[in-house]
Amino acid sequence: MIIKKALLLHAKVIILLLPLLCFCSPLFAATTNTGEFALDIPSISKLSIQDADQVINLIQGASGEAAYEAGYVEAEPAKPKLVVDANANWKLSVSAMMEWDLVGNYQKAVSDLLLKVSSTAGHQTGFGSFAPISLLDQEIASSASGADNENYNCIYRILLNWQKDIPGVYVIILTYTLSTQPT
Amino acid sequence: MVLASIIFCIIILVCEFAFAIEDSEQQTSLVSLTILPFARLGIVDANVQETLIQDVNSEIKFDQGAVELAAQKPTLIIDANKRWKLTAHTSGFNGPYPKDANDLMLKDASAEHVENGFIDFKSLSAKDQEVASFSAGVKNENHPCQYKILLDYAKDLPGTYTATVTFTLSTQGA
Repeated sequence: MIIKKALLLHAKVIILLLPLLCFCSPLFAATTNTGEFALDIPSISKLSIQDADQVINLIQGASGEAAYEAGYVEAEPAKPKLVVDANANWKLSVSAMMEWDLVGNYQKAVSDLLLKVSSTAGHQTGFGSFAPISLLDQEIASSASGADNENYNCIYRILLNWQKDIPGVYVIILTYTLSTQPT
Repeated sequence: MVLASIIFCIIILVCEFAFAIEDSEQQTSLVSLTILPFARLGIVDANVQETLIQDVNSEIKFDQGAVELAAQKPTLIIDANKRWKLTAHTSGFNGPYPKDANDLMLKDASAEHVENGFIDFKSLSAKDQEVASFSAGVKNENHPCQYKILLDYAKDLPGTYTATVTFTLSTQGA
């Protein structure tokens, strides 16, 4: 948004200055000038997210017990869905903003949250299979050129352990970052 | 004209410098998982059978006053994600006469968390009795049990005696 404003300001400055520059010339009436127009396009990236928040309820029944027996529970596929737009080389990454919220005195490990990403764009570099999230940024995809509406479908898996994962509400926030990269 | 051109060039250069920075965008995703209390009770070799044949061994058992059924039958498998309790009760015997439910005894040979005297044979009743418990979750905890039936020459008529034992695993507390 800031860059868009700066670009607009840039264009306005040029437009406003052109007549001024012309009037500054004492030879204006007697000469012909060729007009020049400069358009500066900065590095722009846009990251959209759909179905960002995922709520999973383990119900008391066969499905809940089966999840514990399997050792994990999975959220719905393709949720969230990331959409990448960029006009320069870019990188998409993910990290946990902070640890899981405490449940009683129990601190669930950040790495108990796994992420798998699928995309047909051909730029995916990580998380092709379920891999643990961490507090450090980890690359999902990158490209040496721009991207136009590239979709990245995510699915979350949360590891479960009978002996550790006591009843309660577990919450964690992930940060997805799309950034253009210096050439 | 020259001055104007210089000013224009300076403005362009400043703008170029300003736009040389990289762009970055972030989005957040919240993941929420609600876990309720869970308990899972598995049972292996649930049904146990013993036949006393007419031989000296059966006489010995009557003399001893009891017959022990096969060890580790049934074996209970406990999973729980919080404090839990295992209880047992019996429906009593069906047979030639109303054999006392207390004549059916149970032992839990688990190395851990056995309570209420069931580390050795203890009579069951129609009322639920605590067999084992623990203050935290467990995974695949085995409880190999064994039955023992009291025998009495004076009361136990020939015939087939059956009893159903109900094991209940429940999570406890808030």
